[in-house]
Amino acid sequence: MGEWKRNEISYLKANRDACALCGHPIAIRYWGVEVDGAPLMFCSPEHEQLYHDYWLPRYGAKGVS
Amino acid sequence: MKAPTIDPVALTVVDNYLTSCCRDMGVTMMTTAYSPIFNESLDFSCVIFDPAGNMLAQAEFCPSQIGTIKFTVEWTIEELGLDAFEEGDVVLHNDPYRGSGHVPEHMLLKPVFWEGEIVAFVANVAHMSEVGAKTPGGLSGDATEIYQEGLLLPPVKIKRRAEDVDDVWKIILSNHRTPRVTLGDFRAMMGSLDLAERRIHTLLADYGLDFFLETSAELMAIAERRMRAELEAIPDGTYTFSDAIEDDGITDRAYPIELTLTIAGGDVIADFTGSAPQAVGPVNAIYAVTASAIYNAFLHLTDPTIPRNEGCYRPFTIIAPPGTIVNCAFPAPVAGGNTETSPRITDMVFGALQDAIPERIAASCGGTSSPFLFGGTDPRTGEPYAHFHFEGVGWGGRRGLDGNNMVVTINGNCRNTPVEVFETRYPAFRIESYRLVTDSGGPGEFRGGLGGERVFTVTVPEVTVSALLNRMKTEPWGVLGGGVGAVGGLWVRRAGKEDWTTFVEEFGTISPSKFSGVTLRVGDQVKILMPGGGGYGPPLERDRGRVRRDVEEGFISEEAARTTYGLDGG
Repeated sequence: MGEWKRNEISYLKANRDACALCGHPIAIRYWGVEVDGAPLMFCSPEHEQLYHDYWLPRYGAKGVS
Repeated sequence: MKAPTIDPVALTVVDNYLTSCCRDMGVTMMTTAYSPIFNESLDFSCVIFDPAGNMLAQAEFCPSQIGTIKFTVEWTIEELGLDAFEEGDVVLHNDPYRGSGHVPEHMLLKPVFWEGEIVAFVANVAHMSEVGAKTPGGLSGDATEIYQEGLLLPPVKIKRRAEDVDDVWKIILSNHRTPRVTLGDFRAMMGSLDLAERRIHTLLADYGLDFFLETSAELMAIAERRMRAELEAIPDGTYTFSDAIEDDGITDRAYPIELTLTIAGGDVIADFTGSAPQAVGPVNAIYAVTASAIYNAFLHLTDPTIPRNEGCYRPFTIIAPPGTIVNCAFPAPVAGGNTETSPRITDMVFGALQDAIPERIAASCGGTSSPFLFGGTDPRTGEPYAHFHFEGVGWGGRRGLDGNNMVVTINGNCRNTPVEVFETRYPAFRIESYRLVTDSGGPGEFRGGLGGERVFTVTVPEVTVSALLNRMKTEPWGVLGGGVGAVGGLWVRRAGKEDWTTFVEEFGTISPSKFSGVTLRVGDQVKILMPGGGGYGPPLERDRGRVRRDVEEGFISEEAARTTYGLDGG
């Protein structure tokens, strides 16, 4: 079961977190969920659903994002 | 499905009012900015958002920006938070790794208050002609880090409660080579925002806030329904297409792009899995650019009367794996992602759907914005100058129509700078010739548009030039039996010499068309050849009268008429 979470904006951190489905950089708010023990970040619950319905059948599981 | 609750006439009036407002914002910038990239090229876009960051309206300016600005504004509102905005604030933002298209494109955002609450945001995005990059004009064709592409500005206020934030202005103006022009162009952008704010206040005064909010929500719902209906008319299925960016200015290798479109029941997934890792040089697209190119493609393919707002974009999911050429990771350079990779992606959608909806798609366009940049010091005044010059290309043929000749590539919708303006505003060059090139359009039942050629001579002691062009090696493809368009090229002829040579031969650049910081001197000449568009359908099926007319106009040669189009002289 996922939940909305928040990143802290930091100008000391260069790399951006990205949605595990689409790759869109996450600014602050994200949909956090654990899939097979791995914490993943999504833009939205809809992208989590697409991760299960579209991504996993084609490409398999992603690691920790 | 919920039926509209608002009078359709009122909805249409409000949609047109908001769109007209965006158009007038653009006219304000066109007529008051300092640089030709605003006045002549119209390399900007103007948009209205709701407080949640949903796009309410846009005008028909630069398609690539209209898609990316959605991400720029979303990031800005999320990072700063609504509570951070006060009446009279203006926020500036150009950081590609926070949603901007590339460094030269600066977004200004202003909250619109009504009775103490934010009820909308007005925004514009424009390509500044100078941004403090490693070379004048900003698009350095051999950059390897984004730091070489100009001054990065995350969301920062340049006006707070209607007063300039002088400290931020000092940073910007001390980093741009042409501060006077930068300031003039930013003032034009701010004037455009003020106009939009007044227009929205007028609408609210006449109709009230509740009506505005209900109408905005309904217009987005209508746009989504209509876009989904258009997509449902495309046969469900999986469609694929491959293309490549031919080199990156640093390495002489191609970067493949792989697109898989899955269309089902009004939803589209555009999946770029399998595309090349990000490039060393500046041809990388950031996520917003890739998404924008997909939106742009489907806006070309669908009913142009659908209201242009957030609803149009809701059916689309764009999957762009991080660390690839379509979604690069910090700090990769990105300047050409927006000018070169973006039109390539849009064309790829047409290529993927050529069998599914042959009546709507087009062949590949010339696929380059042909960025040629230059700068120096004006010997007449001692003032620094810089210019981002781009050229048109041939567009692809489509059913019933030949491709446009020499129009700026399909992600730009910009205009090139007229010769007279070019020579008047910039002392560096005299234009010797500017013409369409015979046989450069891909042969087809509907011919590809022609590319062109421009030759200019350096008229000052020295000028610094840079370039970031594509389709110099790989031809724009045709569809459904149509032929390829001609590739482009870039050459230099040193003063007093007879022969044209490439920049590789003359200056040792790695790429013949992507480099930066080359010094040319008085009497040197440059020749830019712009690619043609691909053809649509077999050339043997082209109407014979059209073939004859093409010969008369000089669009195709007599030899091509005979050998390619099968004209037997009759």
